[in-house]
Amino acid sequence: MREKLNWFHVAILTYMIQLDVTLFSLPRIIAEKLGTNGWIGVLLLSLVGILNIFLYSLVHRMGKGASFFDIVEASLPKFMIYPLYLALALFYIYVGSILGKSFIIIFQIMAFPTTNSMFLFLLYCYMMYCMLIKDIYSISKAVTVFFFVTFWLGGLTFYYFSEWEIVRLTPFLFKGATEEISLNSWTDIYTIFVGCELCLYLFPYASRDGKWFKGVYIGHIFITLVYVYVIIVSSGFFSFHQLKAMSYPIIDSLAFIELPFINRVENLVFAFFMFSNVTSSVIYGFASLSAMKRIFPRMRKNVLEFVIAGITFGFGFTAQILRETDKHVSDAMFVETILAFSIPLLLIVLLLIQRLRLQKGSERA
Amino acid sequence: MIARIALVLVLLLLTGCGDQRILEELGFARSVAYDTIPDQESDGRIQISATIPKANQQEKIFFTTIARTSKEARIKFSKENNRRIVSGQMRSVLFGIDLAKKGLWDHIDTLIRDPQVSANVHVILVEGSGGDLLKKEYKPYPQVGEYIDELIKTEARATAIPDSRLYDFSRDYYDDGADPVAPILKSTGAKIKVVGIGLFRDDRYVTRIPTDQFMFIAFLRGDFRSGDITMRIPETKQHHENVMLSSMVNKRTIHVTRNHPVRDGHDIQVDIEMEISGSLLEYTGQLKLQRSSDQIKLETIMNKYIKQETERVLKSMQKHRVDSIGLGQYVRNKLSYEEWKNLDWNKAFADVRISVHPHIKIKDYGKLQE
Repeated sequence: MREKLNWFHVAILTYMIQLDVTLFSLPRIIAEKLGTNGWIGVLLLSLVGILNIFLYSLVHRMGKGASFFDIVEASLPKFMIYPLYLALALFYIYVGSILGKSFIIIFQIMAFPTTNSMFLFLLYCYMMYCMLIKDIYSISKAVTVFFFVTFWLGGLTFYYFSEWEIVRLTPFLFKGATEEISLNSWTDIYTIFVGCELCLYLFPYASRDGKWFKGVYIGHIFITLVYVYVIIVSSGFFSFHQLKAMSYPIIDSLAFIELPFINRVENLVFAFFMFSNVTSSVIYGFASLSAMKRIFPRMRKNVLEFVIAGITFGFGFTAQILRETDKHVSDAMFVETILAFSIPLLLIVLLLIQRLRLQKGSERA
Repeated sequence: MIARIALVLVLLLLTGCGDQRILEELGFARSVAYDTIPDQESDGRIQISATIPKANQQEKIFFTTIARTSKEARIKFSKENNRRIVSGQMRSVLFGIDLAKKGLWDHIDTLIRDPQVSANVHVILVEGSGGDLLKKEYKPYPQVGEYIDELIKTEARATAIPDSRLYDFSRDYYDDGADPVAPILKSTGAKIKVVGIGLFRDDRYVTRIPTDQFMFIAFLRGDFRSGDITMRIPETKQHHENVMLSSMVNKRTIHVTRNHPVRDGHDIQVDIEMEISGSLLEYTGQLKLQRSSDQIKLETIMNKYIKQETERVLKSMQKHRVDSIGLGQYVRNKLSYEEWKNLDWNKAFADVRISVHPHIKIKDYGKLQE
């Protein structure tokens, strides 16, 4: 019998896909876009994320577990969908690539500042390739290990409690944002939840009854709690305007930790986060691979994986400095947010049409 | 598989070739000092000095130069030296008071921006010239950088002088309801002494708290554990009694009451409650400590004394319009956002009615019965 993904691994996958390089600037972004007590806004947006997951579970139920590709191919002709697959595949590679490159550029603020960033990125892509050539079960097991490698870092927040003061949180709700809060601010922040939509590509590897969707919800709720916790800890540790002034509050707060045998812990800890960042890139790569396999079903083993890692590396050339990676990440995340909602809606429409056609067919018979 | 492992190893090892940091080629600046130079020569420049320990840990190298910024000075130092100067191990940064009066933010900004510099670097004021303080030899302490670091750390534990790391300084600087503080050092002969706590308005040094009032600002600034205080309480006009409390624990709470609407500081009343307990280790007065009633009497006397002294410290802060204990944060939380935005806190602070209510408890009175 083929192994199925269980809810536990799905939960960790969902959590790890969403946890990426944006975490380091998260408290600042929230303070800039929403002002004081932005964590409440994160909770509200998390509900939107839950709605998004619900749409996918609806697709799963209506399609009886059929994959994205099966649903699309049942309605549309192949000449139409292959360019669509290709575009989607390239876009996913681009997202994974830009997340990785952004991590490398930020990493270079602290370590290896004069090394060619593409060289470090090559290592990153190689790591991604090594994971991508494995099947999704092995990937999910590796990701579970990565989860435990990074999760204990949360314990470091105990260092901040002596300086943490609730009075700095202020009783004001959404005041003092850099610009007036608009729909744009909300969509910008929603991008932190981008990633859970990739559960769509797990359909063929999980049980048909859809119980594993529990894992997607749990992973999503878990990342929400982590985000809220990180924001509350930073808001009581730093003063509000200070938070808005710092590029990466999380790196700054790590820099505060001093152990008797080692100081400047941030250099070490930041490297650990590479695992969660690689996970995001790998799963985007995996989504892209799923699409590519549909177009080139008879390709030799590992060739597509190699091509994906290669294109990931190639996309890295498009952003060489921080303001470029920042811009690319925010653009890519914006497009991905739109896709995350439009794809399930499209699939639901297709499934409804298919059902209608089936009904008509049976009536005629 | 072996080829793959070899590839990863080669790639990883090659990474190290690009950005090398060879210990023997680096000079770790431990302390850096910034001072003003006479106006007619300055043209926007300041004097920057640094000490670097030698490998034997017994000697130090002292550099000083005139430059526009600390980074320019670092490059100048590196040129005069066979080592590259790095700031990854910096422990303290010293500012002459004259410079601090003009504002420190430009200098602090570049320190925070630099990822090499730790958030735990102490910000310290120097009475006189910071460069001179670093240059001097202090016999029992060959490394002045370590000496300063240890001094600040032990003083902080014993007399509860406030923390003033880059982290605290910038946090309070950015906070619209608090102002930063920093200890003031002075080099006297063969020693360095803490002679006061400098109070800032934004990034400018305004006034100081003298050493005998350290404990009172500590009571006001927040909770602490460990700390000693000696009180010289006037019993009669001629006679004083000495009381010493040790291992103190302080718990501070702040209550803000306000009028509607808040137009200025007069509409705000702040009550500061302090629960203090400690071991009484010295007492020279007439009361009998074994009697509970006398202990309570002594507590009342101490309460009165601490109230009077802390209110005196507060008056001085209000006069200089510096909120060094962060009262503004508590006031802010009682106001609406618009009210707070319309209030110029540093100005309003001067008019706020503040009263202090200490509640001292003598936990024990040492090993003697009488």
